[in-house]
Amino acid sequence: MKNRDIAVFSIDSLFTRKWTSAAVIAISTITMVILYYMLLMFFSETFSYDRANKLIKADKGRLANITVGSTMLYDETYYDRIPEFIDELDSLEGIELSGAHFTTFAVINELSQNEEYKKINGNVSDKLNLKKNPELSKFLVTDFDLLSILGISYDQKLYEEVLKSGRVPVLVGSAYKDIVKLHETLTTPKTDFEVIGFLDNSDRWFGAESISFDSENVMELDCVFMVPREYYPKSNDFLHSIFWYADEKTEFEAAEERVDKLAMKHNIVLNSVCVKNIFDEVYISMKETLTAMAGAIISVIIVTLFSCISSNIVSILFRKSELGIYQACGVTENELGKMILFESIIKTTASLLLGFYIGIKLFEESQYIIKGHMALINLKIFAVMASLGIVIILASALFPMRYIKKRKPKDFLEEYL
Amino acid sequence: MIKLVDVSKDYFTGGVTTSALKKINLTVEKGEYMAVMGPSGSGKSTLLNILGCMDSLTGGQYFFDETEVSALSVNRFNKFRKENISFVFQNFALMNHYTVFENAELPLIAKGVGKKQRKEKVLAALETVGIADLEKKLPMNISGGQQQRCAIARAIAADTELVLADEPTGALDRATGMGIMDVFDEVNKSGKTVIIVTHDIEVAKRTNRIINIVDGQIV
Ligand SMILES: Nc1ncnc2c1ncn2[C@@H]1O[C@H](COP(=O)(O)OP(=O)(O)O)[C@@H](O)[C@H]1O
Ligand SMILES: [Mg+2]
Repeated sequence: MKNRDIAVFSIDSLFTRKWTSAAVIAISTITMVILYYMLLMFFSETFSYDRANKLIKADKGRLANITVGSTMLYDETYYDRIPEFIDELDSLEGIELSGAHFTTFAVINELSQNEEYKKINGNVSDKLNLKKNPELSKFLVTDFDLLSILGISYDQKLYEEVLKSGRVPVLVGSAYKDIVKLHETLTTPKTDFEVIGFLDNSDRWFGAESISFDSENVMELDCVFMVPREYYPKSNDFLHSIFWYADEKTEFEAAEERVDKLAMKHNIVLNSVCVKNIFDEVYISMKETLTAMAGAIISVIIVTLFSCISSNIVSILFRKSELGIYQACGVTENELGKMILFESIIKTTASLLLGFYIGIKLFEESQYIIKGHMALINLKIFAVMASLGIVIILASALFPMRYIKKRKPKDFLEEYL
Repeated sequence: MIKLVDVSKDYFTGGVTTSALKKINLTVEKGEYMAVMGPSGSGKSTLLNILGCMDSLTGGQYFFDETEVSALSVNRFNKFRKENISFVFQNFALMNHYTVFENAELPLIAKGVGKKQRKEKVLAALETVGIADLEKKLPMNISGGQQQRCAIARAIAADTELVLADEPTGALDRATGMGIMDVFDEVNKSGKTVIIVTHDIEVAKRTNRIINIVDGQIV
């Protein structure tokens, strides 16, 4: 029998029994979707994990993140004391400042009381919605948690650029739709605002580019809206983030003590955290998550294989008599095997592509903040997903073929004998 | 042409062994027209399956012309079936979703015959069995007798030495069945060896030789 004819018969039978084929494809697709979805989760988690791992090794526990902030100790000279404090901090023995941002932001609390805010109309800006403004994704970072801890939460360069261009850089807090609206309203009439970062409720900074401004999904963050102090000089609330390193010879605790003393001297309130400690927590929980995910993925692979193989075999059993007729007409078991192989490959490939597509879509949908986005366009991950798919396609095609080859024509012809 | 030497066939199911054929010896000459008769469960179908290379034997030897079929490798055995044997079944065994023409064409596709030649052969075969005008119909739209004619046309088109039929008239009324036997007469006259399993003596009488199987043995 010519291979071309074998292919024609395979395709023919797919369409003749379109409901069986559709059922087989549907069953396989479901498991494929689950598999790919989980794989993507796994990879995006691995990304963060690898990063944390590298940072912990590089940093050796000497990096601190200090948040300076106050309302209670506020007095006329507070703003001026902070630069002084920073200068002295830099000259402290055993301590080096990292490339962190030193711009003091004024915090405008209680947005609803703000005159500007009251003018807000109902439209949520599409500009900062990733889905509606895919341009934004160019600025996506993979893992903002760790980036922010390192003190590169918002881009100092961007900050300066924005300032130079006459726009006002803003750091935002929670309740995004309001913030976005505010941003929009503030931007249009007189002043041009640009969100360059945001803050979560544990005072961690994030770059604006890592935010997905999803109007339906408001992340729980601090309700702050911050602009450089000069734009809201009347505000008596501010936050200031500083990062420093303890140098090679200095223990973190010893350095911390010195920094605390210095802060007291300047009458400044500090909240200082060893980055490594944050990392360690993240690291351990990540490791646990990864192990659990790996286990789950392996079981899903097994289930996927099983469901693809068995649905292909069951669909063969549905048409035993037809296979018997082929054999009675002289089609050999080898040729029949090829026919089934071809059919199974088509079916599984269809489910694979569907699963791939739906899995990725689902993953994207579920990631309000698209931290796994990088994972999707990574060639290595794509290759892993594709080769896993190929293995599944082959296995789920080879087993039914073997199954066919082991049957005697008589087995299929029962109905006629 | 066919020679069975001490052929046995045992079935093993659930630890129970059934001897369907017990040391059968049988010679069939080329061009013979033969009926196999016997009560239900006596082993007629089993014999036909073995002759048709649909099943392997558990003992003895099967010669087809110079070839010892029972000694062939699985692949050669399957190819041998393709080249030399055609079947006609009680339930017609037609593909429901293929037309009469396409059904009759199947064995030729299996053999890798070219399209043009296939068309010639199939049309000629349909002509022989008298349903040339139904070539575009689906099996479910024609009568049982016509379906069986289509099945025989398929065997004719395949152009094999040996044509085997298992109760080909079993699902048809007497008159229609006799019409089918007319077709088998034609097939045999064209030089093919035809073996028909039946328990209808009238059908058997149309052939030139009748063998009886009882309890797995020829009597
Ligand atoms: N696949 C099988 N497994 C077990 N026993 C079988 C099988 N096929 C047939 N038999 C047994 O072999 C015997 C002969 O069967 P068969 O050749 O179909 O008889 P017939 O066609 O003469 O009615 C019967 O006893 C039947 O039960
Ligand atoms: Mg029978």
